[in-house]
Amino acid sequence: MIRWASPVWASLACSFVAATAQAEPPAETAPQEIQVRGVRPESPRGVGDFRLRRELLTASPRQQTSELLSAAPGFFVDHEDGEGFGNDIYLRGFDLEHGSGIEMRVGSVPLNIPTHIQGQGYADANLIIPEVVSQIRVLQGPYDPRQGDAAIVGSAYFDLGVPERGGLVRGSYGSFNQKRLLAIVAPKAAGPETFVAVSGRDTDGFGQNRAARAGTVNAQYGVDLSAHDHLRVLAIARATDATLPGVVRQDDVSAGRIGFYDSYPYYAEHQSVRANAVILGGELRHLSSSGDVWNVAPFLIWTDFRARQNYTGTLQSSRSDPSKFGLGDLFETKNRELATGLTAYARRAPQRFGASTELGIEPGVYLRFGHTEQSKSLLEPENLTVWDRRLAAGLGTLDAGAYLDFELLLWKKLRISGGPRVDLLAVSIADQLANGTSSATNADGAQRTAMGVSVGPRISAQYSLAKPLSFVASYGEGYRSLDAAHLQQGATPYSKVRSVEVGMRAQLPNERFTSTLAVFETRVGNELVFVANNGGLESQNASVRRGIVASIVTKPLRWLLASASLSINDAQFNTRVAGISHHVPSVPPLLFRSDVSVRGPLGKLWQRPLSGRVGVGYTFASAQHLSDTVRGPKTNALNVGGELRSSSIAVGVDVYNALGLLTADSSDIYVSNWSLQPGQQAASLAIHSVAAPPATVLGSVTVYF
Amino acid sequence: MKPLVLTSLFRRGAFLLATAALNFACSSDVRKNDDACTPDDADGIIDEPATLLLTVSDTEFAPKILAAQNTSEITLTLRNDGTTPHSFVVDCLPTPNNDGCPTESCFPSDSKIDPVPPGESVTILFETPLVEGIYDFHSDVAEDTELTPGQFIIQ
Repeated sequence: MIRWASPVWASLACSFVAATAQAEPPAETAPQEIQVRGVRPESPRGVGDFRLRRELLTASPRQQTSELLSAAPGFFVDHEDGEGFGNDIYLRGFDLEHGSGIEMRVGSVPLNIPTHIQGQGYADANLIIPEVVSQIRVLQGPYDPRQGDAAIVGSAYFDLGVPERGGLVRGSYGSFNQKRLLAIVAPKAAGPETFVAVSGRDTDGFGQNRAARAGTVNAQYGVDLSAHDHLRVLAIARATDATLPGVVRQDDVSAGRIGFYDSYPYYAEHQSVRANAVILGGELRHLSSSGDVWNVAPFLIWTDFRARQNYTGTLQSSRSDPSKFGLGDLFETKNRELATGLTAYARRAPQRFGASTELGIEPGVYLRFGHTEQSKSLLEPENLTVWDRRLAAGLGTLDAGAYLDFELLLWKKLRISGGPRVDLLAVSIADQLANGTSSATNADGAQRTAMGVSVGPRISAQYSLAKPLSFVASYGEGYRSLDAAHLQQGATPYSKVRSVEVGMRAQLPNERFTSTLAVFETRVGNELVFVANNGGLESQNASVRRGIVASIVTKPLRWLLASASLSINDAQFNTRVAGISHHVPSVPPLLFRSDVSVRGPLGKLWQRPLSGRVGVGYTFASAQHLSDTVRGPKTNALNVGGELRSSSIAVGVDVYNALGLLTADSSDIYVSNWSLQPGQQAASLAIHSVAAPPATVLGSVTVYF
Repeated sequence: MKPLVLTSLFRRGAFLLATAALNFACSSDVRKNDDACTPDDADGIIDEPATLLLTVSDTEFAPKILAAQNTSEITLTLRNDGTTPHSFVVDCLPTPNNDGCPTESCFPSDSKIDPVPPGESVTILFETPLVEGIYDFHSDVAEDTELTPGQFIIQ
């Protein structure tokens, strides 16, 4: 029997209904066009299509750009103290390791790296400085034909801009000797798209071996070339490195042999991550007098990644020389890619056919060509010399895609959106270890090619029952590139995803209240699962996820903004062994998030206007499956922050993990032989964790000019 | 009156959708083994051939830990660097259950290496068992009481 068993759920539902009951009748004179274009109140691309404005993004403390996604209903992005890795993102039953599985773009530039050695579709949004993010559009599910590679669970599109013109300098200091300096210059003579921002961060890190530093530059220039033509140029550069402590075994922590924030004394040294990136993008848009839009956006991306990680201690033996063993399981993974491409589309202005029909059409193309050098080797921790090579390959990748998007509006109530997307995916592999004794051994030889065509329909139908209320049903097929280095000759280089959802959305004018409820099922052709003894993610067979996501965002008063979301889901995958399936590890079956912020004028201070902001963010994640029989701990995370601003000076304080709870950033169960003694010790099965940051306080002073 | 109508409709719609959603979210079509006696596979990887070299002295094996995937073809060479003969025997792994299934998992008989004289090597070929776990191995030569056993991890 289904009951309103959960107080949280019941509360959410009651709030939802109550707020709807208080809804005012929509004003006849409401500027409907502005709502549709600016806020997208009745999304034609599924229930989970949200545009997150700056006010919601800053409703609670969020230090890194990836964490801004937590503002979207159903999303949870963990808070990391370090740098270099893309954050893990939880959404609709997925634990997206380092962003793989969610398509990300900054402007029109795709951030995902299709064949990254740390996971296909790896994406690190932290190369964007969070203060210059003006808006994020998130789409949950692959229901829009514009969504490309890696849109397994959805997409996140970052728009950059600085509405407050002039500039600022912000200095931050806090726990663990954490320092950050930010400068933004946004010339008043230019539009909000134009700015230059520079950020530098350095931290000793909590516990042992967590020092990190990063330097980032974001610059964007937007200019009207004519009354109809607009040009935008984007440049991003980032360099970051961090030391890593590695895992600790729960049995060692429980017995007091090692601290939760410590690092093992043997074989755990020299773990680190280094990531550099340069992105250049341009976007030329022509708006005709009839309302048609032509857009072309080329891009150039260079990324360089290196991680050194040991998960298991010293279990490995060399596969090329079996006489080598016990030298430590320090895997070094490298991925360097140079990629270029473009997106282009022609969006016709909606055409009216009679009084009840309106049709918009948008054909578009996408092209991405890349060359990647990637490797995986075992290093001796003492001197970082290679003692076993597991993978070394050069990859050439091509994604040539095209889509046709229709938007059909019937009787002003039924909107059917979507269309087909076709992508030609081709990979050439120069396998330096082919026919050897490494794991990359491939009978098809050193030079291999794989090619395939992904055809995916995407459609979403939305029926407006009344102005504030609509029902939505969506279906979409997306794709994600596969681990290219291990592809056989002639294999299909991508994995399909099929997703369906039904739900409803309620939205009042002026964003006073928005609520959604979606039921979804997503099937992925190949699941990526962490396998410790292989030093990273491995492709497994198909997975299926089912669940519900409910959310409310309300702004009942000008100074109050509150949001809450609840996800309940079940995630299973089939292993490569026929008939064996498991719960997908690290996915919390229940996820609740809430943000509340209060902001507004407070009066005057020394004859100058004083304003303030206080924000609270709370996340509850139920115990995740580590295996089918073992679950990890629950997660409770509370972040609190506030800021006072008087004219050109602002002072703020943010507190992360304000409850001071010991929580794990990641937990996995597997066999290792970590020990506080040197040498190859006996192995056993244990839960291994990497600690999340303890209570962290950050103060900042900002000077505006 | 319009908001009231909408509220009622909305409540009913929300309740029905939520009820269906909870049923949907809580359902599961995980395909476990039809045969209850077929063991699970934690990492989902099988059948990865491996070549292993094991040396034995009079006091220890090196490496102390061997690792391989389950149901994988293993080429194992045992080299005796000691002064007396040593053998290689993998102990069975207990698999206690109340389902009437086997209560232990064992390596095949061809994984056993009879005593190897000092300075000599023996190479064998065998398939690892299906059941994942940590198996102990040792020398069953009666005089090898001081020889520390090792571990064979089946992943």
